Amino acid sequence: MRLLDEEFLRKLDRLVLACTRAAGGGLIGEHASRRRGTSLEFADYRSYVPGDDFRRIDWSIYARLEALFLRLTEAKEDIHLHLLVDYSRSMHWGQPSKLDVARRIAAALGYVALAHADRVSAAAFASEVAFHLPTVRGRSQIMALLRFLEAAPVGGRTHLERAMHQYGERAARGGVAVVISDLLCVDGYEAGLRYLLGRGHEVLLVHVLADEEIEPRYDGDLLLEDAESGETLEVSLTPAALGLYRARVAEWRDGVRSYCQQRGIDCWQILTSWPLEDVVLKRLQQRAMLR
Amino acid sequence: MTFLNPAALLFLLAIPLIVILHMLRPRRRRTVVPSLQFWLGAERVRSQRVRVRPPPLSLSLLLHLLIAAAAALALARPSIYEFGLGTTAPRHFVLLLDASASMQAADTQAPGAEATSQDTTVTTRFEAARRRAEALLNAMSPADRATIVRVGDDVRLVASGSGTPWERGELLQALAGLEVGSAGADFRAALELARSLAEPTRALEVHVLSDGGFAFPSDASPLPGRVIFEPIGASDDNQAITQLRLGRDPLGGRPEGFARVSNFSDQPVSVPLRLFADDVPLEQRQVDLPPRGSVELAFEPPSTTELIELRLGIEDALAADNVAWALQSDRIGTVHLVAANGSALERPLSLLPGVTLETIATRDYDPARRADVTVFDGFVPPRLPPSAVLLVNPPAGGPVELQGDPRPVRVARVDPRSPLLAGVDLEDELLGTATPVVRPLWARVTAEADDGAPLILEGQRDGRRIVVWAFDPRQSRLPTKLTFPLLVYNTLVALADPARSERVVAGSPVTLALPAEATELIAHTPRGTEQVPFQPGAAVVYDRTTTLGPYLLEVRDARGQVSQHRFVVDLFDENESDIAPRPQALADLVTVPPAAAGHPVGVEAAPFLVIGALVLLFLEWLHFLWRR
Repeated sequence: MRLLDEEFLRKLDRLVLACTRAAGGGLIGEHASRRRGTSLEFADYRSYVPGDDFRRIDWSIYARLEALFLRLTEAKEDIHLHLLVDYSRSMHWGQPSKLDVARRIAAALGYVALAHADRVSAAAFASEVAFHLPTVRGRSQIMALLRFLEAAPVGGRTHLERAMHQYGERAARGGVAVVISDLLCVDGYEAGLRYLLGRGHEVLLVHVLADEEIEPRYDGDLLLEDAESGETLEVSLTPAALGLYRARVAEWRDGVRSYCQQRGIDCWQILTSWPLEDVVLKRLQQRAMLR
Repeated sequence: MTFLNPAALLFLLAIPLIVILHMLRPRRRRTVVPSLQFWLGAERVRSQRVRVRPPPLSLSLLLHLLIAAAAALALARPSIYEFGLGTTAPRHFVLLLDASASMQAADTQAPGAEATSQDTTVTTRFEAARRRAEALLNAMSPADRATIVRVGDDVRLVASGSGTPWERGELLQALAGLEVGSAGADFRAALELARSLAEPTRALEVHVLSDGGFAFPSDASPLPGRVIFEPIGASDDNQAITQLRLGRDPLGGRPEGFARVSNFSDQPVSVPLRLFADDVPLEQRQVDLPPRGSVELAFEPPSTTELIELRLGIEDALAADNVAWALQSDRIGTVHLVAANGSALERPLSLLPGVTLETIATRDYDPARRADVTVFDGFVPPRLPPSAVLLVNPPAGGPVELQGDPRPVRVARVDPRSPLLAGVDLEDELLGTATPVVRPLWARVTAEADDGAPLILEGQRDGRRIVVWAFDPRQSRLPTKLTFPLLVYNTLVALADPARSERVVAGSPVTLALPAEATELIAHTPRGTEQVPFQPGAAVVYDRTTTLGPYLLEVRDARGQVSQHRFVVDLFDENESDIAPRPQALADLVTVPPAAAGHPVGVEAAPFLVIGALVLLFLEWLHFLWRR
């Protein structure tokens, strides 16, 4: 599978990975950095969007203009991008599969980072980190990243907290941690994300779901089988049963958004039917992840 | 509408069974989902232990029910009536066309015929019957059926078919090819045939197209349907030759002729007669016939006459009976006399009329030479010829066994009924010395001696007629008596082939035994001359005798020898010559009322239901594929 086509790569070349927290790379990079106790260069303002850190609001501007703006500062440091991609069996589902979409998003973000001398490390996880790409840097490592994303094995059940713990013990602190997963975890998603925040990462959660998970097109009497656990469930899908399912999924997704909002985690809930360019170029750019 | 097989409606019980099957939970489709955690609420409607649910209102259930209903109804064979000829049920028309001789009468207009360009003023009764049958066939509905039966001396089923255009065309074609006969009509057999044609799905309707000139069988079985007599014919104006014979005075040998002419009309009539002897005009007479009466005539043709023809010089309704033929009935034919030392029979044989005598010495006897009668006097060949045989004073080793020594014999007892002794008195006749013979099983005794030994035997052995004179006439005074030539004549007449001068009913077959040497069989008929195919050595059945007149069958062999067989076909049937229509002929026919004839049903809807079920099955298959 070709993760990124030529035209998309040309568009990605114009983007730069941005980090709203301390870049944490520790090295001289192309990115502005924000560190305590050091001189900070004021970079720019931008409009406030829901979810931004309130501490960054420039209240003086608000007093004058009664409009909310965020103060951006720059520090010349590199960004360490941590790509954490869920390779569990539940991701290998749908048409196109969630895993394919996750790989392509991870490939796009990794490409941008490597193209601008940022560091990238990646991990494929399910119940644990099954496959790990050590930190790489520079354009010459793009193929290594792509090969890693294509070769990582699929399988297992998602234990997000365990996997994040396992990754965090080995990875450098800080940077941007992008978790790309369907969050269908045995142990829930909250503890894992919380752990990453505790490690100083700026967390971006890309919550990937298939359209059929939102609007299933089943009917009649079915024997449902869990893709990860293999457990089965006999159901008779009446309209009421389908309505209940849809309500449960919507509630769960709302819960994820709310949790991320409360903890300053950028969250974007993506469906596999969405065009990849919309996701990577426009929506993440709106989230100030790319500029 | 009715059901031919109502018991099949029990298959409709499959409908509730199908509903029950649909209420049972089917095997679930196995579907992999990313996670079960959000489906847990749906398990509330998980199947119970009994796995029964309310009948699902699905297209699949509906199609299954429709298929079951269509199949059950098709098996029950529903029938829908069609309309034809004013009734609501299809019918089977059996058309009995009278093809007897009286139907040749030209005295009628064609009744019920469609307008054609033909002259419909006067036509024969048979043609009128044909047109009436044609009208009935054209009025059939496609659900009706018709059978055409030609009723002559033999009854023949000509054609049968439905009222569809193509089959009706075939019926009309078969009807157009029918010909009238020259004999009577066997309506007993015709009605039996009509009864056998009754079927449960159609009402039987028998149409008898006839002038009624037949003897109604009073013991005929009732028919399960309607019998309709369609009277044809109008006139009774007919005169006919009802008898004609030609014979010979047995003692003088003079030919004698006898004829009877009848008048079947209610009016007196004077008719001219013309008589021909061997195609030569002999005489003319005017005969006055009383109403519904007859006149008998006698005449003397020349002595050599073999065939006479009598004609009525009138034009009446039926011309077939205005001419008749007769052959000389006592012509014996060729006689071979094979004698060892002369024979007392030679002289009377040479003088008898109708005898062509050939005397052959025993050493010159050739069994291949054919004769009508062979006389062996004092001699018996190793193998008898195929002709009739007279054995006179037979020696030992022949077909009769000799027992004892020669002794003087006297005729003690005779069989007065035997035609051999017609006009011959042999009782107490001394016959000289003779060796007693043992009566063979194939023979009967005509005269016997006082010791019981047979003196004259007659019978049939191996297909040939045999007469045995177990005495030598030369040892008695019998040859000098007047009874001797009469005895000889009677014996030869009894031995001669009776088919040689037979009168044959029109259409009847004539059986002719052909020798193995036969190479050709030619028939000279009133229609002309024709070759007749045959198998040498096998019998020939010649049945082309429908035309009235004289016939001659000529058999030729490789040696050039010819034997002839003559017969005539006349219409001597007063029942047919009396052409007055008799519509009451069928008044006594007993029929079973149509209401009791079963349940005539109409067009079956089963084929349409089967087609509908197949279409529904196809739709259900499409629905199944779409669901998958």
